[in-house]
Amino acid sequence: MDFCAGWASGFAGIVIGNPLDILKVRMQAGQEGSAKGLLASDPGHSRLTSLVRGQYGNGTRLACQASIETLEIGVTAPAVAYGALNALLFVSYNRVLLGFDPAIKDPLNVPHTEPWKIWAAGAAGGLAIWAVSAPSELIKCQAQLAGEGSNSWSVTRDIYKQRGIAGLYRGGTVTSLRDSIGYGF
Amino acid sequence: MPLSLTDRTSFWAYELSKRAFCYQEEQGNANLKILLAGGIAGVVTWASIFPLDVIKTRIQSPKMFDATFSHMAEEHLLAGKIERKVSAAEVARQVYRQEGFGSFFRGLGVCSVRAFIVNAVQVRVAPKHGR
Repeated sequence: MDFCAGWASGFAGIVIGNPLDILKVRMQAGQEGSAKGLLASDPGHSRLTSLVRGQYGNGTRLACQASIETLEIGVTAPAVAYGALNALLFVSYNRVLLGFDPAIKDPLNVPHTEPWKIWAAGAAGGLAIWAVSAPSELIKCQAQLAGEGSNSWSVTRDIYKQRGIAGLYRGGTVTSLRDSIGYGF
Repeated sequence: MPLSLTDRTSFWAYELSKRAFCYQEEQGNANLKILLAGGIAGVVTWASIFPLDVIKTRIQSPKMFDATFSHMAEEHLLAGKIERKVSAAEVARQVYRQEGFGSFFRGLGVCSVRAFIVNAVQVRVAPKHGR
């Protein structure tokens, strides 16, 4: 039950946060200098702007559907991965933290535990999720940068065809570094 | 005190936020504190890993030769080398040389806004999760 609730909340967060995530990734990739410029320049992005301004092009329903597709590009990979990711993360974190201090009752409420233990346990969690996180991030990024017409599944298929499993783990080291620091800090 | 651990919140930033906001006697404005603590934890986490995230995005983007290697793209294509494997350090160096230090933080504002929104949504959907 708890697992399902967690996945539901994670899914909601991913879906609602995705449009801003697309913007972030495109700005990071150097495709645009500012958020405003990004929304204004590319025809593929004009649907994003249209939705924001409340103007619909060729029929409300069609434009609505197309806009949602645009806004949710690249959402499948992280959504599917979320359950496994969360489970791996928390199990690893809990195991390591309890390994340091077996007396802890609730690993997420530890007002008296030394910071370094929390850091280390978090970093361990970040490393543990690598197998799921690296390909999920890669597929998400490529789908979001490619824009309209691409989706998580088509990206996965193409990468696998061209470069196999190794291709799906491209950028895995940096992802792992980011995750371990990101969850440990 | 229910508080969910959200997308990319470091365990320590989360704990720090709770120590700052939540482990207190008075319960007034508890919900606001939860939202604030979670959102701030998320923003702090993202700020600390953002340059790494930029490098990751560059490495993983299909047009990796575009912004950072544009001057090499043509000759590579002509030579039949569609792609060579570049190291993260090389990518970082190229980005710094060609686009400056600021480019490692481009998109952080958008990301911070997103972190706050995502945290608020997740707390709403499953308030007891993560307890």
